[in-house]
Amino acid sequence: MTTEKRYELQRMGALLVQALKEVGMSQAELGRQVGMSHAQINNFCRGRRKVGVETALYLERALKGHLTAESILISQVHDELYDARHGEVAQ
Amino acid sequence: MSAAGDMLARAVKNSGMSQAAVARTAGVDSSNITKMCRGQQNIPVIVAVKLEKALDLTAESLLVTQLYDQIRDYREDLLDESFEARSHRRWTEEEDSYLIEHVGATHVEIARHLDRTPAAVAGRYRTLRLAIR
Repeated sequence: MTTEKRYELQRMGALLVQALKEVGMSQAELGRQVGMSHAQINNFCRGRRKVGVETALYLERALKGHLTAESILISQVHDELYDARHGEVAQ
Repeated sequence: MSAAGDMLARAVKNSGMSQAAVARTAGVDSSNITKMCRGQQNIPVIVAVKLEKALDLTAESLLVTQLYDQIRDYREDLLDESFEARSHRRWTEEEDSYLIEHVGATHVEIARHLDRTPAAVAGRYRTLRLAIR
């Protein structure tokens, strides 16, 4: 995995981490609010797990407008496009 | 209504090729292209990348438009007062049969037909797959 690839994978997660900082909320608390485990939220933050449309809307609601569902999902689409264009199969 | 489907249909029309020809060029099944143009099937990322090579559109524009379609559909569900009931109502055998018969359709379409939420449909598919295994 190249440095560029690592950066791309972390882009969506970096947005989530930044929003958590702005709101002053922990990953565990965000998990409680959206009905997910701390580990699942951590996987989103690390770009290891895809965020679905409905989950993105729940995250948007919990993060009080500091991050929109659109920005989460569009960022994720860019990650997936990178994979597709570089011949990697998205999980 | 699917803005992504309309965008794809317009690009196919502007290309002067038939849907079957575009499908061949993009290496996908022609029936799938038809469903995508009608908004009856989601456009996967890998297919969007193939389509941009055949048509005058970018994979980004197609996928982002599709995302906005999906977000709009889900937002409508989340704001609806009957959301809780449609999420947690007990599943019937008729509904399970419908799910099995419509594997491949989008969760949003199935949810609309069954008066469910897309998340409830996704969850039921997970349960059914576990039961089949």
